[in-house]
Amino acid sequence: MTNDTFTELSDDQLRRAIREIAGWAEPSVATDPSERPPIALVPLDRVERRRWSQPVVRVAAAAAAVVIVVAAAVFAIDRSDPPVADEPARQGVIDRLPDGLTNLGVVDLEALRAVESPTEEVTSMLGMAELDVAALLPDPSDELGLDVDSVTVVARSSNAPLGLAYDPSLPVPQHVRILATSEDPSMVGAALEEAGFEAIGDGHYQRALWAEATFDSRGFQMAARVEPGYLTVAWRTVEGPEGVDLLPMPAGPSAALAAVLEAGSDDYVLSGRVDASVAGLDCGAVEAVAFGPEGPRLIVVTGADGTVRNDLEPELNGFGVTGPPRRDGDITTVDIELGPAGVSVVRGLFTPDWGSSVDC
Amino acid sequence: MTTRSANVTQWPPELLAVYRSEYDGFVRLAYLLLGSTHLAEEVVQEAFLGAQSAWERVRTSPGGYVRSAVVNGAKGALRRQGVEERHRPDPPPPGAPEELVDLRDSLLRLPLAQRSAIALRYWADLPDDETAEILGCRPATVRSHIARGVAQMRREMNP
Repeated sequence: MTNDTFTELSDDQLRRAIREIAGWAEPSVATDPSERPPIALVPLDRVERRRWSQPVVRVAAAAAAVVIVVAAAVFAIDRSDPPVADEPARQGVIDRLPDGLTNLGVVDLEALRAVESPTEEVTSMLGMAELDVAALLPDPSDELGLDVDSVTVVARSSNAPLGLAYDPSLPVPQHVRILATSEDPSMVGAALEEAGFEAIGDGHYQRALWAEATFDSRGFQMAARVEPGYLTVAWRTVEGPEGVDLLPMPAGPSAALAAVLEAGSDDYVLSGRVDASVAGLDCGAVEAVAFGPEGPRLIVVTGADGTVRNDLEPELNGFGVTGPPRRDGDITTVDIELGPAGVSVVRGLFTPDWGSSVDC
Repeated sequence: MTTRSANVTQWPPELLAVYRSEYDGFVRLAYLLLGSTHLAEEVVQEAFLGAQSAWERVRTSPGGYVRSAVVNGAKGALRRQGVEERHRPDPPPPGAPEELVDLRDSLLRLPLAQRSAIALRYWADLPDDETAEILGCRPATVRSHIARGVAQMRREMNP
C-alpha cells in the first residue's frame, strides 16, 4: 500500500488496513483458556468503596511560601468504621475520592488479611490504585514549580486484568509502573531508565517490586518505592517544599516501619535519615517519622548512645510498639503499628516544627 | 496454582464468555481510539468491571454493553489524562509499513467521534445504527463522521 493508492482505497482495503493496525495491539493477558492461568473473579461486592471523609492537604510550613503540596494528602480515614476480621465484605478498601478525583487510590492490605482470597483483592485493587498528580493539582507546573505535566504511579499486576483474573501463585502484584510526562519527556524518561525502570511504551516505565528508585529531572525529584504491602511515592522540587505521599498497605506491624518516610538531613528524598534538628529534636538522628490520621508520631529515634530514649516510650507505646528496640549499627528501630486495626494513611511533610509534639 | 471456583461462579457465565471471546477484540478497538495498548487494556478492564457491577441491566447484551463502555471509557481516558496532547502512540511493530503507521497516526489525530465511528465500522463491523447508539447520535451523523474522517485521513496522507 502506498500513499498513491491510498487515495483510491476501497472500503475493503481500508478495513484491512484498520484491522492490521488494530492487530498491533497485543493484549498482555492471554484469553485462550489453554494459555491462561485459572481465572478467578473478584466479586465487587466484597470491595468496600469508601470515601475518606476528611480531605487532608498539608501546607508546607517552611519559611515563607505556603504551598499546597500534594497528593496523598487528600486522604483521611474513616476510623469509625474499621475493617472487621469476620466481615469479609468489609475487608477490601478502594478509595475513590469524590469530586472527580477517581484516580487516587489507597489499598489496605492489612484489611485483607482475613479475606479468603487476598491476592485477587490486592490485584484488583492495586490495579486501580493510581496517583495522578495532575488530577490533584490543576497545573502542577504552577503549584509545584515543576515542568511536569503529570506524574502517575500505577501499581498493578503485570498479568492480571483488573479484577477479572489473577495468578494465585503470585503473592503480590509484581511491578510498579510509572508514567511521567513533561515538556521534555526524554529527560524524565532518561532519568527513570537510569534508575532502573524499563520503558514499556506509552511513556510508562516499570520495574520490579521491592525496588526503590529516585530520579531527578529539571529540579524535580521523585522517589517511588514498592515493597510488600507498600507503595510509596515522594517528590519535591529543588526550591519548594517536599511532598510525601505514602500509600500505606501495612502488611504487619514489623513492616510498618518500612512504610514511613526516611529523610535525609539536607535532602529529604527516600534515602538516608533526617537529622534530628530538621525535626526540631536534639537527641540524635530520627530514623523515621510516621504520620497517622491524627498527626505526626515519632516512631524511631536513635539517641547518642544508640538507644531509644526512655522519655519517648510513652509516645511510642501510645502508638503501639510491638517489639523491643533493635539496634543495627547506629540505627535503632522500633516496630509499631500504624493506626487502628492496621488501617492507616501515612502522609505528611517534613517541616521543622514536626518534632514539636515530641518531648525529646 | 489453585483455582477458586467459588469466586468464578459469582461472575455471570455470559460475561465470562464475552471476556474470553472478545477481550482481544475490545482491546484492539480501544487501541484504535487511544493508540496505546496499555491504556486500551485499562479501558477494557474497567468496562468489564462495569458490566459485572451493572449485570442485571446489561445481561441481555453484555458484549454490546462492554463495547459501548469501551468507547466511552476511551473518551474518558482521553479527557482525564490529556492523552491526545501528551502521549505518543505506541511505537509500531518492527517492519510495519510506513503507510500504515501514517494511517494509524492520522486516525489518532481525528476527533474522537470520527475515530470511533471509523473503528466501529471497519474494526468492529458494526452497522451504522448500532454505532449511532454507542455514540449517542443519529445514523446519518455516523455516516457523516466516517466520511469526514476518511476524507481527512486521505488529505493527510496525500498533502
